[in-house]
Amino acid sequence: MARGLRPLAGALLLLEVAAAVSFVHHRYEEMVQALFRVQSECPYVSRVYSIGRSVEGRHLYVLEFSDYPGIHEPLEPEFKYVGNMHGNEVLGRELLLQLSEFLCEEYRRGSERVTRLLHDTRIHIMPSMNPDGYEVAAKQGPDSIGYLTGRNNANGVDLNRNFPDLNTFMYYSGEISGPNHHIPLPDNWKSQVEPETLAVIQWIGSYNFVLSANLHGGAVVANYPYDKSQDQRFRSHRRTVNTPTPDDKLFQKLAKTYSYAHGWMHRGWNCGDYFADGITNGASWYSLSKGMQDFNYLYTNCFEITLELSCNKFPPEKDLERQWMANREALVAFIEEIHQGIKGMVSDENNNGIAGAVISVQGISHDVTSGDMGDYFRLLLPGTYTVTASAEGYQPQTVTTTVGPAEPSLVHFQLKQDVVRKPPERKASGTRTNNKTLQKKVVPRATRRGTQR
Amino acid sequence: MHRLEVVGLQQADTLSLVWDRCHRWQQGLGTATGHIQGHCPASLPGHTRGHRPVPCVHSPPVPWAGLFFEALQGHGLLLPISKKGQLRPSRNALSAASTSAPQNIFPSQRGSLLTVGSAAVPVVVVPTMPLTRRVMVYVVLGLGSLLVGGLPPPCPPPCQCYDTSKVFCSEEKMREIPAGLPGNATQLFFVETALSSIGSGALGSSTTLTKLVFLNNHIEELEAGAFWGLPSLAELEISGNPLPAVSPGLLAGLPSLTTFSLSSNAIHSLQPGLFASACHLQDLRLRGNKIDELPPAIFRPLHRLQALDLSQNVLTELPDGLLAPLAALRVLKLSDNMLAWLPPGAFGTLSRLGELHLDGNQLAELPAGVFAGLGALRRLQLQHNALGSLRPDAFAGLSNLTFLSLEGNQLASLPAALFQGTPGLLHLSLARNQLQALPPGVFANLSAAQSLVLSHNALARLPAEAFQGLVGLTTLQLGHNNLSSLPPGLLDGLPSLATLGLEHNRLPRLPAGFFDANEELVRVGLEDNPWACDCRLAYLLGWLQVFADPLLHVQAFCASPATLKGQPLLEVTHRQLACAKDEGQDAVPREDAPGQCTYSNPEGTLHVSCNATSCQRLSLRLPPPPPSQAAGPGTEYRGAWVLRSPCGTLQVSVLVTAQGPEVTTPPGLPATP
Repeated sequence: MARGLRPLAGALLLLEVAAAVSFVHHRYEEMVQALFRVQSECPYVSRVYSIGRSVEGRHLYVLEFSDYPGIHEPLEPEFKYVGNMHGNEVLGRELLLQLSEFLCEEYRRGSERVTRLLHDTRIHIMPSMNPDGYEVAAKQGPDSIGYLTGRNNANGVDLNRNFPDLNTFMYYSGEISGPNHHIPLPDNWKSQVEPETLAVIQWIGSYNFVLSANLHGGAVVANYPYDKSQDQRFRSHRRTVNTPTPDDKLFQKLAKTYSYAHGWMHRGWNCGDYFADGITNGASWYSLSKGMQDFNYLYTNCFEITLELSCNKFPPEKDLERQWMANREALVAFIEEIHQGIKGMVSDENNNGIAGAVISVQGISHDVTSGDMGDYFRLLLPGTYTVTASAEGYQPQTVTTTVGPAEPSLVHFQLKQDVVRKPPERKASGTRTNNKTLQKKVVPRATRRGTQR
Repeated sequence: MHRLEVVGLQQADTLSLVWDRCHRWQQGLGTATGHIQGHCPASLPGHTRGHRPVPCVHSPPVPWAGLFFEALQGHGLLLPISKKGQLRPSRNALSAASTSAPQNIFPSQRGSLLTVGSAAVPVVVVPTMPLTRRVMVYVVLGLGSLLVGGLPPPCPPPCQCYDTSKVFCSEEKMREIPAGLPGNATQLFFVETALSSIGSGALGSSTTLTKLVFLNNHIEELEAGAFWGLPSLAELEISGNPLPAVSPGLLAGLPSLTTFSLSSNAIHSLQPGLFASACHLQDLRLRGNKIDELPPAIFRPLHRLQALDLSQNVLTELPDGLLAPLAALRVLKLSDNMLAWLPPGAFGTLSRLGELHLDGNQLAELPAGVFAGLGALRRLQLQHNALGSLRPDAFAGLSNLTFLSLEGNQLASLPAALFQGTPGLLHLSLARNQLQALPPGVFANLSAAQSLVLSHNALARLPAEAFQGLVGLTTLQLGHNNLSSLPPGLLDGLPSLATLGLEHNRLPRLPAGFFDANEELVRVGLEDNPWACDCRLAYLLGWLQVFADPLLHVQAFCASPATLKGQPLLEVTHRQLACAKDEGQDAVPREDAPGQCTYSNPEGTLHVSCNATSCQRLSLRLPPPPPSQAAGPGTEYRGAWVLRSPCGTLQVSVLVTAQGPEVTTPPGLPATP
């Protein structure tokens, strides 16, 4: 275990508190009531909003926690948890409802750790990305025999195989000098995705998310990008091959943070599978195309991992409390991981923020961009880095900085306008399009029964 | 004139249709179909018109449905059916019925709406029951007869209907209850709409509706009678609205109501009689309003209430006898009010109460015997009050208590007998008080306790026997105190201890052998102490390197000597732990328990604790196995060492045989540190 891993000393601060949400499965109506109840119990630090609707018209609700709900504060990073993307993988949904209640109660109780977290972070929690599928699964009930019942959305589509395939574009262009970040979407992407996927893509385009996790079930492991293996031959034969991102070490640390704070994930042996340290590269487990995790990394600034949380996708209610106790610390500790690396403002000579400026770290070929206010966040492991900020119409600026194990280092950039005056172009991260039509590839959907993320 | 005739209905179905229709007729809201032979019964038991609440009957409720049915039969009624079987009569039935609105979604079936004969008379007959029980309804019209069976009910365009009975309306521009809600709805939700008032009869009437929920609307007014005609309604929630008050007759006509929430509105006071007819209520939530006062008799009818939530209001006192009628109460939440005192007998009759939340008030003292009679109490939350002292018998009689929080009060001392009467306590928090010392034996009775939190106090020293008796303790938090030393043997009586918080004290070192009795210990909070990294730290360092999870322990740093200042404890090697010669010779045996010596090798991977007669504890850190060799059964590891300690030297040889993967890599012990 690397010494550089951020300490979990905060574990000691979490005390036993009342479990206000009872440990039951929440149907859609009850979930909505629970979300609004938390919001009304913590009105000054929370907000409920909907990012759109499912095929059957159910809202995709998000509960936000922040000291200024609804407002992005410069230099305060945005975090998200997404649960229940597969309707029959329900533990994440219940854990996120418990987490919401827990954050609210701890904040009201004056817990230092949670208060600091809410003041320094804007946390978005979506308990269910597939509320229609959930209802199908819930009608069948826990420990169901129909293993895949309710997995897909109401149109029968697996939402974690429904995002635009940016890996293919990247793998082909990457061999030369193409980008592996902020890859443009195909022109016709909107017509090719489901309503839930469309809503999520627009959501992650309109917030500058920095870190997130997608909660699944059917195994117990923290899975990090890439999900899609690069070698086409292996993919077609369902061979697995480790396909790391340029941020591989960082992703491993993020995944380990969860697995080691989890009650038993780090032990490796779970549900008949073994994963060292309780983590795995997605493609080295099995290759998955058009998933949400890779899409986050290749299209946005967000670093997402996929958490498989229980062997039983629909555990009985009597297991929920034990599962919550095993995941509580991990869910909080993973959010805290957002506070590392470097962050800062990119501004012009008049101190106006520059949106869409590109932050490049030498030696890691994956750039991030600044948000609407000119603030950027780059997660990095401790070390010394050479960082360049560039924006169209400005002269690039390069600095060298050292990142410690705890708080992120502040690195601000003030860019001078180019000698050849060009009007600075504002890049809006959600509206990028490209004329190139990407190759579409048909990839076999099912791989291993029982361990599909 | 159309005459409608129903054949083949089961009793209950007939009843709901008839009742629905009749009532509407009486309210003068009848629609075009209307020619009724016979008439409605003058009044229905459990349902009255007019604002006067019905007093509760303590005998079982009159089976009005059955009575009504008999009355019907007596009248030989030819049954009229509303043209749509809807909850609410529609004034624009034509458009509602013939529009195939795109946002109007039926999840399971997309049945076409039925229009009959001339376009001017749209008729949709909807069975008011689940589709699995099909009703055959003959509709006799002037234009002809028609057989209709099993059509999905219509859903008003701004809403979504699920499972043919759950209706969800969340259109933010919706200002009125929409027309055309399906008559067989069992759940009806209005979420974040622009509804600003619910008029009398706005929801029509329904015998099937069991749950009605308004979340975060703009409701400022509920007319008396807004919920009349919902005899099956079991759950009513109206929360997150600017609603300033409710009329005392609001719950009249809801004989089945068991759950009622008015949370997060702007209600200042409740009027006497509000619950007069709500005698079946089990769960009442009034959290998050501005209630500053309650009528003393308001809860008198609520004999069956199990949960009462009055948190986040501005109550300054509880009237005498307020809670006395609530004999069935299990959970009482009074958190975050402004209660400065409690009447001595406030909870005296609540013999079934399991949870009492009094946190976040301004209680400066607890009257004698205020918790007497609460024999069933399991959880008592008193955190964040202004309690300056406690009577020795404050918790006497709470023999079932498992959770007690006194966090965030102003306690400077504790009576020695405080926990004598609570032997079942599992979790006790005394954090964030002003405790300077602990009376001897104060926890001696708490053999079941799992967690004890004493952080954020002013504790300067602890007697060696402070935690004797806590044999079940797994978590002990002593962080953020003024501890500058800990006595040897402090933790000897805690065999189950797994987590110990010592962070943010003034500890330069720990006694040798300090954790020897704590075989389960995996987490120790050490940060923010002035650790003196000299030879006297050898025991702690050895323990950390062998047993501790490095993930959890990297934030502790040496404060001295100057050469090691700022170095993480985990990165210090045993060779670096030096002492001035005479200092080391003197100091170390003193730090060990009397007669005890800890032997170790220079690398710090092996430790043995011995006293004059025997050696008790051997700890050994295995080197990582070679990469080629899987750590399978049969793996051997052997070695021999000469260990040193201030008491002398010791020769040790060790043979370890692995039996399985779990033996060589136990959880929490990293294979490659």
